Amino acid sequence: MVAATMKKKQNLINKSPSDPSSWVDLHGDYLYGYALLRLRDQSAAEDAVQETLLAAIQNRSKFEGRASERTWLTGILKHKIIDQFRRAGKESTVDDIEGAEFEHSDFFRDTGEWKNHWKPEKAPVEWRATPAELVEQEEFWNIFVRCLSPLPKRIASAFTLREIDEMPSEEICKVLGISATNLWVMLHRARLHLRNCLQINWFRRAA
Amino acid sequence: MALQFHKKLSHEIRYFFLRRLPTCREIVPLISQSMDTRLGWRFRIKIKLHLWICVWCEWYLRQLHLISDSARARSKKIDNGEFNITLSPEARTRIKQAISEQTKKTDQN
Repeated sequence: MVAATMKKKQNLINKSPSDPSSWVDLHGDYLYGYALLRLRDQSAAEDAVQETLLAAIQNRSKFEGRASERTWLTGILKHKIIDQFRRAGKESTVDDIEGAEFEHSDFFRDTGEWKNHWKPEKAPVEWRATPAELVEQEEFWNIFVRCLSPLPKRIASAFTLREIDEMPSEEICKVLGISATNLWVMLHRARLHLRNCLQINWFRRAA
Repeated sequence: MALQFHKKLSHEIRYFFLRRLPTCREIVPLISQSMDTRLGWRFRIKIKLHLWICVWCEWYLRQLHLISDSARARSKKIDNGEFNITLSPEARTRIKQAISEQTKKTDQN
């Protein structure tokens, strides 16, 4: 009896992780939501959750109870996702910025008095929306994901790290193994493409 | 009459600058870059002057910030578990299966 109480106390102090068989029910949906937002692909997100939980089983002894179990698991998942981005970065050569077609040089006029200014049909139109409204619009985020999907992997990864994780530029450069100048070109292409795609598929339609 | 003259003059001044100042093609990448790093003062002045005469790029800047703010707000909510995003039943079963196999393996060692 005393031993049992002692053990209980010990458990509380160590906060050892709960039984792995309960992890999917306790944290599965949360981890999946986290992964899906960043990987934008159902099966990739499912795989990332599975890999995370399997890695966690092997590293159970390293869980020190300083953070909650969910925070610990999310930390492992975060590393897995960044590793995927890093691998995508290594697949392409450093100096070559892919996605030249996303430079969208046809958005600007090539001739005439207004050479190098927006073509009227490609130019921004006024949007009436606030972040608070957009956050709740499921359809907007479906379009958002669809707009990002044609971008080369490395550009999409850079965009996700910057706009979803708010990672500073220098850190993203390290993860992807690219120069700051290349990062800026990539982010510019991602934004130029995404903004245009959202204007066509969401804002024009909503207006 | 005076008003019309004023309008015409301000129109002429704007277009005088529009023809001489950096073009949209040049400013659009700088607008994006300004969100990731602190630009030098020359670039900041270039952008400011251009935005003064170009409502399209003004909207472009505002919209990039709107997209960025919305994406960050959305991800914070998702990371707080505020949206009901769930694993499919198949994935749930598959992952549970993998966990039980892994646990057996680890316990054997």
